[in-house]
Amino acid sequence: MKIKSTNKRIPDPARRQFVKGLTASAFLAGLAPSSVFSAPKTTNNPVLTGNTFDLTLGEMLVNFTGKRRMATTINGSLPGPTLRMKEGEEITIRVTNKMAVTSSIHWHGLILPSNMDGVPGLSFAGIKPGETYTYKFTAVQSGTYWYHSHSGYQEQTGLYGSIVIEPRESDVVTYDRDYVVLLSDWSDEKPEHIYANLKKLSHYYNIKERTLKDLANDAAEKGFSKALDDRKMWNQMRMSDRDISDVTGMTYTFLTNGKTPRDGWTGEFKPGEKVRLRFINASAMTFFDIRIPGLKMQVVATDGQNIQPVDGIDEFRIGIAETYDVVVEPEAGAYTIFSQAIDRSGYARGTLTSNPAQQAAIPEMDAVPTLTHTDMGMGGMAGMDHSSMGGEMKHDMTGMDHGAMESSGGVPVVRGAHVDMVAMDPQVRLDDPGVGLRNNGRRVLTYSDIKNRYMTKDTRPPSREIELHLTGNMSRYMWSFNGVKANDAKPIGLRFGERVRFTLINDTMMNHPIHLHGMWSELETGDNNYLPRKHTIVVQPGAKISYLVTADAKGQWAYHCHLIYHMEGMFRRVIVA
Amino acid sequence: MKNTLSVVLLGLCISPAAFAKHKPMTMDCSQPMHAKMSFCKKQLAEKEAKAKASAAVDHSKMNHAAMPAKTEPAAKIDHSKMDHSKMNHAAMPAVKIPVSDGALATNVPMPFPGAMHMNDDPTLSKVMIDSFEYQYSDSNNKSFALDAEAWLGKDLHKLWLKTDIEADDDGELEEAELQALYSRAIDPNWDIQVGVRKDFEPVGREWAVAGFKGTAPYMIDVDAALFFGKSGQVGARLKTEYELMLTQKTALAPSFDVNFYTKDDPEISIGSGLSDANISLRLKHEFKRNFAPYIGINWSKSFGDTADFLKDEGEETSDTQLLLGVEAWF
Repeated sequence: MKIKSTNKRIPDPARRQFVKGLTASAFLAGLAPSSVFSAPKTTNNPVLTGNTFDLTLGEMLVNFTGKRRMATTINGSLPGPTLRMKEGEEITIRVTNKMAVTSSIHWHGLILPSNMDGVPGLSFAGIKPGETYTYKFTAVQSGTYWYHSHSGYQEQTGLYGSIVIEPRESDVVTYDRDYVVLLSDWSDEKPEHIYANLKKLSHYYNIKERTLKDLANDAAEKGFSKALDDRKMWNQMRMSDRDISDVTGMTYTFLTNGKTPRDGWTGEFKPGEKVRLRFINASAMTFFDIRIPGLKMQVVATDGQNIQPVDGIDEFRIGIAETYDVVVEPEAGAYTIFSQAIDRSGYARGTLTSNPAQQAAIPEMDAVPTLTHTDMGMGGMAGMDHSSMGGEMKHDMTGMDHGAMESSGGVPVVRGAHVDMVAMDPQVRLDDPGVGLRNNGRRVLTYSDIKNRYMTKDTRPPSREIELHLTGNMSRYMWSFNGVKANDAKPIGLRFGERVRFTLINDTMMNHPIHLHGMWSELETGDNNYLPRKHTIVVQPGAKISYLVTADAKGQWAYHCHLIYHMEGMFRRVIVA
Repeated sequence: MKNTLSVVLLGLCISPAAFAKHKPMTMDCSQPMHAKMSFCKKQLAEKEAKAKASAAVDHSKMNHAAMPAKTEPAAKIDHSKMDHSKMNHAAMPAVKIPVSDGALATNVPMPFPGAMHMNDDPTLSKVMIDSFEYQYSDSNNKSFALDAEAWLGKDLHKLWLKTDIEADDDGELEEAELQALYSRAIDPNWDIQVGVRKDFEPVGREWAVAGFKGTAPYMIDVDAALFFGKSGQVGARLKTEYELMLTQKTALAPSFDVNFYTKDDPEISIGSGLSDANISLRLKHEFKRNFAPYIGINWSKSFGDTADFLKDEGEETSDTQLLLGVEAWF
C-alpha cells in the first residue's frame, strides 16, 4: 500500500482563488514559524507533519462573499493547517494567541488529560492575548479528528482545523491517497449579532417557511379538511414543521476546505486509485447531507474510529463535529462532492477529478424537508413497531399536563417558559436516516449501519443510567438539558472507572450533536460486542438514543450540544472522580 | 419544590461522599420521601408488574458503588433494537438499572473559576415599529398613526415600552399614550406584563396596567390588557394579529382590536361597555427581515354609548381607511 500525502505534492489548482478568498494581508499576518515539516504556505490547506507544532491564532481580513470581513485564523489560514501526527508519539503543540481576546484550542475527539483538553474554566484558564500555551499529550489513537477554539464564538469565525493521526502500524483501511474534506459555515455577520437576531426573532434565518402555496398543494393532494387537520397539531403547538436549522444559507456561505461553492475545492486522483476522504463537519450550526453523484462510498470510520466497512452508500448526514471517513474508487472523470445543508438553504462543493481542467455537474438540491409527527416525538414512523416500546408511551402521555413531567426513565424535566415541548413518545430511531433523507431513493447511512471494527473493550454492563432530555424553547431561543440550563445546573458526577449508560431524549424539533469530552461515547447501535466509539452523537428530533461511557478519565470535562448557539444553555460539566 | 428535592436526592446517590465511602447506597422506596421520587414510582410499578419474572433482583436496592454480578443480564438489554425488533416483551430481561439525571448533590467549583465565559442570556434590546402608517379614510380624513414597542432585558424578564400615537395630517396629536411595563415570561408562549400607562392626548390620564402578551394556538399574536384608571374606570383592550405567509417574503396580516370600558367618560367620548373595534388587513412585503412596507385597509366602528357620544358631536361612528405604512424592527 502506498500512501501519498497528496495535499503537499499536487500543485493546487485553486491557488488563485485562495488569494481571492483570503486577502493579501493574510499572507503577511499570521504565517507562523512552524514545525518540523511544513507544507508550502501558499496552499489553501497547509499541512503540518510531525510531533511538534506551532499554531498562531490571529485575525485577518477575508472575503468569501464579496465583502471584506475580519476572521479569526490559525497560522493565517482558514481552516487552520491540517496536523498530521502518528499514533503513539508524544505530541507538543504550542498555541500562541495573537488576537485581542482570550482564546483556546480544543482537540476534538482526542483522548488526553483534562488539562490538555483546551476548555477554559475546566482544563485551563484559556490563552490570554500574547500568551503561548503548550499542549503536551500522547497520541493514543489514530484516525480523523479536528480542533477548534472553545472560547466564545471564535469557532464560527474560523478557528478550526483538521487532525489526521496515522496508525502506529499499517492502516487497516487501504487507500492510495487521502484528502481531508472539512466543511464549515461562514457568515459575514458577527456571531453575537446572529445570536441576538435569534433571540429577537427565532425564525430570523428561516427562509423556507410554510406558505399558502404549501397548504394549497396539501389540499390538492389530500383534500382541504385533511390538509387543515394535518396542520392542526403544529398550529396548536405554535411550531413550524420547517424549523430545520436555526441559522441558514440566508447568512451562511458553506465552505469545503475553506472554498466557497463558487470556487469549489478540488482534489485530484489518478484513475484506479482508492481515495480516502476524511469528512469533518467543523460548522458552527450546519448539518450536511453529503453525496458524490456517480460514486458509491464505502464508509470506513466515524469520529476517527474504524468501523466495519459499510459498502454501497450513496449519501450520509454529518452532524456538527462528527467525522466520517469514506473510500471511493472513481473511474477517470470528475465528480462533485455535494454537501447540501440539511435545510437545503445552500451547499458546499468540492470536486474529485482525474483531470484538473475538468469539473462535474452540480446536482440540484433536494426539496425542503418537512418535519413529521415522528420528529416531534409522537412516534408513528412508518414501519416502526410501536408495541415494542411498551407501556412507556402511555406513562408519558399521562404526565403531559404535569408541571414537571415524568419521562420514560422517570427523570423530570423542569417545565416553564423555557421548555416548549416534551416528546410524548420518543422512539429509538437508529435506522431512521432523518428528516429530508427518508425514502429518497438513495442508500443513506444510518447509525444502525455502524458497528465497531473491533470488539467492545469494556464488556461490563452499565451500573446505572443517566437520562437527559434535550430541551428548549425555539421561539424564545433558550436551550437546556432536562429544562435546566448550564448556569443553573449542578455538574454530572461519574465515579472513576464506572460504566454508565447515557440516554438522551430529544424534546425539541431539531437535531442536536452531543459531545462528551475526554471519554468515548459507545453508541448502542445493535451489537453490544461491537459498539462504535464516537465523540459526538446526533440525537434526532423527537428521538431517543443511548450510549455507554466508561469513566476512565479523571477530571472535569465539558459535555454539550455542539450547535454553537445552543451550547451555552445545553451544557453540563462532567466530573469524574 | 418536590422536583428540586428529588433532583438533590438523586444527586446524593452519586455524590463524592458516596463515592468515597465505597459503600453500597441503598435507596428504600418504601420510605415516604423516596417513594415520591420519580424512579421509585416507576420502580414500584415495574416491581408489581414483573415481580415474578425478576425474583432474583431486588429493585429497591440501588447499588451505585458496586457492580453486582447479578445485573449481568442488563448487557442484553439492547435499547437500539427496540424500534425495529420483533422483540417479545415477556422475553425482555427484567433487570433495570437506576436512572437519574446524574447531577451531583452539591456544586463543585470549576478548576479555573471565571475562565469559562458562557452567557446564554445576554441583555438585549429590541425596538419594534409594529405599524407606522398613513391613513386615508373614506370620509376624506387623513392621519398618521404609530404603534411601536421596545424591550430591554433578558430571556425571562424585560422592561417593555409601548406607545400609540395618532396625528392629523397637520401633525397635530390626536391621541398619544405610553406604557411602561415589566414583562415576565410565565409560559413557553406567554408573558405577563404589569406597569403604568400615561395618556397625553386627547386628555391626560394615568392608568395601572395588567395584561398578557404572547402567541395563541394557530400562531395568533395576542396582546390583552386591563387598564385601571384613577376614577375607578377600567378599560380592557385586546389586540390580535395573524400572518398568513403568501411567499417567503409576502404576508397577508389580518388583525382585530377591541376596547371595552366600565364607565362613561364623556370628556373623551367613551361610553361604558364595548366601545370600539377595528378590523384591518395588511399586505406586507419583507424587503429585509426587519423592514416590511405594506398597504392595507382598516374598518373601525364605535358601539353603544361611545357611538352615541360621537353622534352627538357629529362625528362618524364607523370609518374605512386605506393604509400605507411600514413595519420595522431593530
